[in-house]
Amino acid sequence: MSLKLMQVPLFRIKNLQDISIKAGLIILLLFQYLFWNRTEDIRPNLGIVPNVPNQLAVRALSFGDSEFYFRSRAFRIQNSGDTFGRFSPLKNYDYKKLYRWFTVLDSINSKSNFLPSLAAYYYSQTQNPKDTIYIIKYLEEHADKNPSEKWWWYYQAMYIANHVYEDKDLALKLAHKLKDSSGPDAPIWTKQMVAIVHKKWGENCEALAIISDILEDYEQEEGDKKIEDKDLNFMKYFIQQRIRNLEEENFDYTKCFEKQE
Amino acid sequence: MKQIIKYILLTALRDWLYIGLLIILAGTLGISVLLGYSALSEESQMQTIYFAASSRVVIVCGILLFICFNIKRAFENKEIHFILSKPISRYSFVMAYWLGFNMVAMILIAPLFLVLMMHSAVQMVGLAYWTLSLVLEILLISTFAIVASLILRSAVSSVLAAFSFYLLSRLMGFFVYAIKIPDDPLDIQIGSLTGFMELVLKALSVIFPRLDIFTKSEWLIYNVTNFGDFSLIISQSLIYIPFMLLVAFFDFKRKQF
Repeated sequence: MSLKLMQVPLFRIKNLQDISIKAGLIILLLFQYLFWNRTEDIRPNLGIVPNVPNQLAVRALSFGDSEFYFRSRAFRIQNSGDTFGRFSPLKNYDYKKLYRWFTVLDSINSKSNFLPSLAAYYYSQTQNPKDTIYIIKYLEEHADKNPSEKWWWYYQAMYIANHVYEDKDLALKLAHKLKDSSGPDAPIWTKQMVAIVHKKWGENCEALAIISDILEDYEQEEGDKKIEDKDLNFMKYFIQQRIRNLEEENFDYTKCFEKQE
Repeated sequence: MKQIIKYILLTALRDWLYIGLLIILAGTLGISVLLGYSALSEESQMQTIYFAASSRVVIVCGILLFICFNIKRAFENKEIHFILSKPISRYSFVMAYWLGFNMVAMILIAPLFLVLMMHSAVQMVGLAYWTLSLVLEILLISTFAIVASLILRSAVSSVLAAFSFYLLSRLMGFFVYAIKIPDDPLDIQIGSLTGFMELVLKALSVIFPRLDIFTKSEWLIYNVTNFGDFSLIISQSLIYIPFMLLVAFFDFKRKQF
């Protein structure tokens, strides 16, 4: 009986092999379908700000060309959160991580203005003003490396501290750094920023004293360094405004100069 | 010898190496320009660095593949047997191959130099140093590829060996930075994996060249600031290229055909 069965084409060994291969293919395809069914909701965690490497990893990953690593990572940081068709609001970014990226990349290239530009003009626009402390800190540290050439970033840090983060003491500290580090050839407004910060916080007396001092200093230079008319007009207008405000408050503005002395 | 060099230059043409690599370089330039334009600031610096660094990798990869497969094919087609049947010494043969492959590399570097020269962000002195360093880097790596192709039997293994050599040499700076072997030999923890790895890395750093100090993209936009690095590059090349050539002579002299 069994011998007769084997002679039927369906049960020939060759056919059995073919059938088992086909059955195997169908079963594995079914398993693959089941696998897909179970895993289709598992999405890769793209994150927003990539993880920050340490100095050792940076050296390894740059393969001896740190400038190329710097440029490629800086570009990645510029586009982080906005990849794969996503657009992430800045309030969702991890600013601590961003700050660490900025400092790591700054250790490779502190000459470039790409990262401070990115921090000051883009990442400072966050909907969460408290996060801007990391931007201020980074800009200050970046400018500290070469204050005479990088004073512009003190100004940016001061502006963010004054108007976004709204920390008077921090803004004043940065305004003083700006005043001291910008050389004699820097525009006169770099020296006036301390007064502007005082004015913003309603401290008319201090603002008046500082601008008067600047004006006096320049007048004493006897033509060596001419002030442009527009700057002169601005300072005179600024002084008049402060005096008017102080008079409205019934405050004797001459006392501002006494306090200064 | 001249005939062999001409033959290698012709082989590169027949293998579409010049056209193929120039098309890839043109693509690299296009992508670099596009990426540079989308940068928030310093667009031209971005374009320069992307193009220079990726072109270096493209040329190195192209030359390595060409050398490894060309030599293997020459062995398999008995071209080497044919050439050696002529009145030419084995040293001259190796030298002719070395010169031929490096002339191919120079032909590929020339357009790269010209494109970079036209870029506004590039410092000319930096470009001159960068190009000279790239030439030396390619001379060094192509000499190793010739040695690997002469010693190893299969083309794939010689390609893998050449790429591993290039990557490890480029990582040497990291290895040297990572090794913290104590001054007192008694303090070395032989048993621990870290201690063992550090000893291995130390040994590797003795044998491998320091390619991490070669061809730095920053020279192109900020100029060379440390000329001491450049004397190291020259010294490294003067030591390693003749060393590899001697290895090739030694191996090829003993080869039985």
